[in-house]
Amino acid sequence: MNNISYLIKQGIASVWKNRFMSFASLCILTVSLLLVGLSALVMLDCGIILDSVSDKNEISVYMEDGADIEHIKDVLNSNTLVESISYISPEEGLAEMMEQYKEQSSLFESLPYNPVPPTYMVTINDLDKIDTAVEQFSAIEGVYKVNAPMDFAGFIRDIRTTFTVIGIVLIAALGTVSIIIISNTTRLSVFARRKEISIMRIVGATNAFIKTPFFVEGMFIGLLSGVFSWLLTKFIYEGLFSVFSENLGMWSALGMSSILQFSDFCWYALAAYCVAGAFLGAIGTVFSTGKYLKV
Amino acid sequence: MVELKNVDVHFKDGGGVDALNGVNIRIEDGEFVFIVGDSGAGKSTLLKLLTREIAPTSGRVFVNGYNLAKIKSKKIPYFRRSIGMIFQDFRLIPDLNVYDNVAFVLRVTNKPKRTIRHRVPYVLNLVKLTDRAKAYPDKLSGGEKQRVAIARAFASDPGLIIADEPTANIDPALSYDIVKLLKEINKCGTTVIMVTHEHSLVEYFGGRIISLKSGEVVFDDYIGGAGEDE
Repeated sequence: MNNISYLIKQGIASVWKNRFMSFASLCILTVSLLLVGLSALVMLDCGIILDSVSDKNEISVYMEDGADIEHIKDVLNSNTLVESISYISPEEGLAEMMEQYKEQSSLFESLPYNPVPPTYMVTINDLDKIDTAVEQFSAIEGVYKVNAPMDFAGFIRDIRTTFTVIGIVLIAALGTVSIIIISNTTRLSVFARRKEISIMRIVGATNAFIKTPFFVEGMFIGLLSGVFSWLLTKFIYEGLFSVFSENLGMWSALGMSSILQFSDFCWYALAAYCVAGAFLGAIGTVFSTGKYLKV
Repeated sequence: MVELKNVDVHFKDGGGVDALNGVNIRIEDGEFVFIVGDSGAGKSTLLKLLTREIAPTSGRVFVNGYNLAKIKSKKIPYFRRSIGMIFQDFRLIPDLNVYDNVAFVLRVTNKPKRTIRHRVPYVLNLVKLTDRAKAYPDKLSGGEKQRVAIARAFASDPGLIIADEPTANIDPALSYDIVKLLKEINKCGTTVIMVTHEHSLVEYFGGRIISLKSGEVVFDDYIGGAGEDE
């Protein structure tokens, strides 16, 4: 078709002609895409952290002084949830703690006794049954306390659920708002070009010919919004990532060292933003051209 | 060829109005026809029928081989390519120059670039606007604007040109030039239907006159005129 370039030029020129409304659409769509994109990234990272926590599904079983260590080991080994067991003596435990809190090591040295109890590090084979395992291990005679990462796992799981809900609400609400805004921009475009459209009709332009520039306009605004959202995401995500990196020691214990770097998904994100933007732009245009262009 | 057989147009809006009643008209290819009548006589309704902006309530309308009473909406754009329209308010696109306003109709109908490059200068020469090709509508006089509109209507070489009061918004002295131009186009074989309320023009040029009154054809015949052979 000879007219493709002509129609594309008309569509892009229309973005400039209605620049104020186009700018409003661009801003709304950019913010919508950005919020949805960031929510999706938080969901992804929560998933990764959960996986990482699952890899560290170790339960610390602290024993009382004088407890029958071998008996406890036998009981633990007989439990079907247990995958492996390793013993940490009070001396090893103290050394590990002093290594972890180097700055406070003198404090540990000044203690008159070793506060670290003999411990079994128990790896279980099913993280979903961690509550049952903790309950069963606590009931063993001679066990003083059982520590499990379930609180943190639950916390991360809650965050993921929250952001999933937020993400779905954002997609529904902001998607609708974006479509309405784009639709209004196209309506203004149709109004601005009404004379041209009436001439087009009378000289025999097809519906597709009349509608294509508006479609291009919507998709162009959507694509630009996609690119801007991507740039903002890069800026925000890399900023947050550098904060995590600076405090990696603290966060790595929580499994956060494994979260995605922007470079891992850079081009996928750009493609996703552009496709989503163009799609929303096109949908908004379809609504208004269908409704306001009775060709 | 244009043919209307027992055409009625009834508008439900405004309490129900009979815009056309039992109209029968036949215009052969290559004719030049004036359609006259007072306000409310049904001229605009007739033009809307001929361009298929409205469909008849009853009866049959044939234009350039298309049955407009039964045409599918998808086919309407292709039918409209077979006619050229001229309006009293010119309807030029303000941000396109003279050349592009004329080329617009060819672009819209997907004509090859080579055709556009040949055809536009030809029609601009015909309406004597070659030297104004780069001017924008706001720099043109009323007469020049109407000549651009005529060039645009003729650019796609349609079989039929319909002119809706083409002299209404221009200097009376230039009205004769506009009709002469349409007559010239008619000599190329194009059928021309011109709606007007200027009786002096009709009397001067003569030819076939169709007069409407209250939605009915009250006169359809040839009259002689001083400028008939121009």
